[in-house]
Amino acid sequence: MTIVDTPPQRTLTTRPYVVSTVRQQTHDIVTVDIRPEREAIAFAPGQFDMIYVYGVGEAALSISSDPAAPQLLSHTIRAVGWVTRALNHLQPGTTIGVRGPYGRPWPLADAEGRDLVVIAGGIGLAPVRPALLAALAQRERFRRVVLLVGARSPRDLVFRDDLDVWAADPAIDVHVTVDSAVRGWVGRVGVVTKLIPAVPFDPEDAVALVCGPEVMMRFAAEGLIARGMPTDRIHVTLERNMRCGVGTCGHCQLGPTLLCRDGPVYAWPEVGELMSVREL
Amino acid sequence: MSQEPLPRGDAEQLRSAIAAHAFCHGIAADHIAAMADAATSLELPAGSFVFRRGGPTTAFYLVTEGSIALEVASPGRDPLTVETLHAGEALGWSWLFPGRDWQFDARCLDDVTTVAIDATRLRTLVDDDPAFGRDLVLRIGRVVVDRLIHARAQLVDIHHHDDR
Repeated sequence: MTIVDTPPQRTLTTRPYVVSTVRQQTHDIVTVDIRPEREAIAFAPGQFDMIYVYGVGEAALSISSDPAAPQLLSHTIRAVGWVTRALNHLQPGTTIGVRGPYGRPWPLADAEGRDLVVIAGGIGLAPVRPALLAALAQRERFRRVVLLVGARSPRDLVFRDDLDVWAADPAIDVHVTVDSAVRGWVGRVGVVTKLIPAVPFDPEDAVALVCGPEVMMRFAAEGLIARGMPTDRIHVTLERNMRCGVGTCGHCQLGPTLLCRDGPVYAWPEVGELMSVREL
Repeated sequence: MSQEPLPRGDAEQLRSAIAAHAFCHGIAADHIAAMADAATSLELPAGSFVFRRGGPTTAFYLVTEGSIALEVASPGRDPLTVETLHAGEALGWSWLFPGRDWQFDARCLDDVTTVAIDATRLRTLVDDDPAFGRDLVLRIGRVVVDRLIHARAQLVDIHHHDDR
């Protein structure tokens, strides 16, 4: 299959993809794997697509699959609206529309030669998963690779197969915690930010990729800063009501920035203060 | 039931374990020695309890190996784990206040080693040496503040706070 390396960033043209599999991640989250009917489009970790369920509508969704294999594209979805509910009930063989990839990706190259610290809360593991897969594929370029994952409960953990594989892989240091648990869970209980002071990495020479609910990202950034990480090495990804994906409609405005055009990945100094402004 | 403390370990080993513990970094050597004099090395197997809710607060624990779950239990239901504590963390602050009981069950998730410092003797040290007392109470205060922040983060459900 042909892979187009220079995706048409600002196009509004939808391309047909066919649903390959729908994998249940948790009770309310699925991963939909799709294959292009024509050529595959390369993407960078952290970018997102506009997914069109014909007759229902469009939704912006981060890509959660391996950037080395764009011929099988995955998006991980919680059903919260008309489109995501429809996506959760897709059957293999269904054709959907995809446009993208859009947006500024994770600055993985900035982490080369440094420690890479990835912090994910809940479904936030999905948008950083491509960065982790890319980093592990070129592991020698990084020093420590650390993954901190938090979820509400064990049943809310996504990509559990990956977590099991990574936990057994000496190339990556994985720490998983949940907010609360009942008998049967023998792992950590507590918020993910509690891990930040305890986990081995060099805060002065590391790059952090943080993804999760905005409150969680604020707590995480504050924890990283308290540990001594320079603020411009902390990166977060934001998602808000993206409609056009190309910086035209303005629905995803956050103060002076349009998330779809300027983000969704930002360095902390670009958005840290904005994320605390109640009026925005 | 809580396990009986093992026989006192070597005093020098206790001093080293206390001095090396993250909670105690920077405490003066004579205060470390005084804490060691009031301490016992405690080794507990997985599944046993360091203490249980309602029990007397007889010791302050420094976890040196293993993991401990703070649990709330009720009859006929699985216990709910509210937090886990690990090597390098301190366990318990109710001991600061005479007459208080433990508020949670502390159950070992794996084999655990702690330094257990006798609460009565530690309170006497705090009373007799105000400088040491202030230092220790401030350290406990930092632990309490950190746990309060984490508890509030759990309360607002930060891992599930909005829909992505």
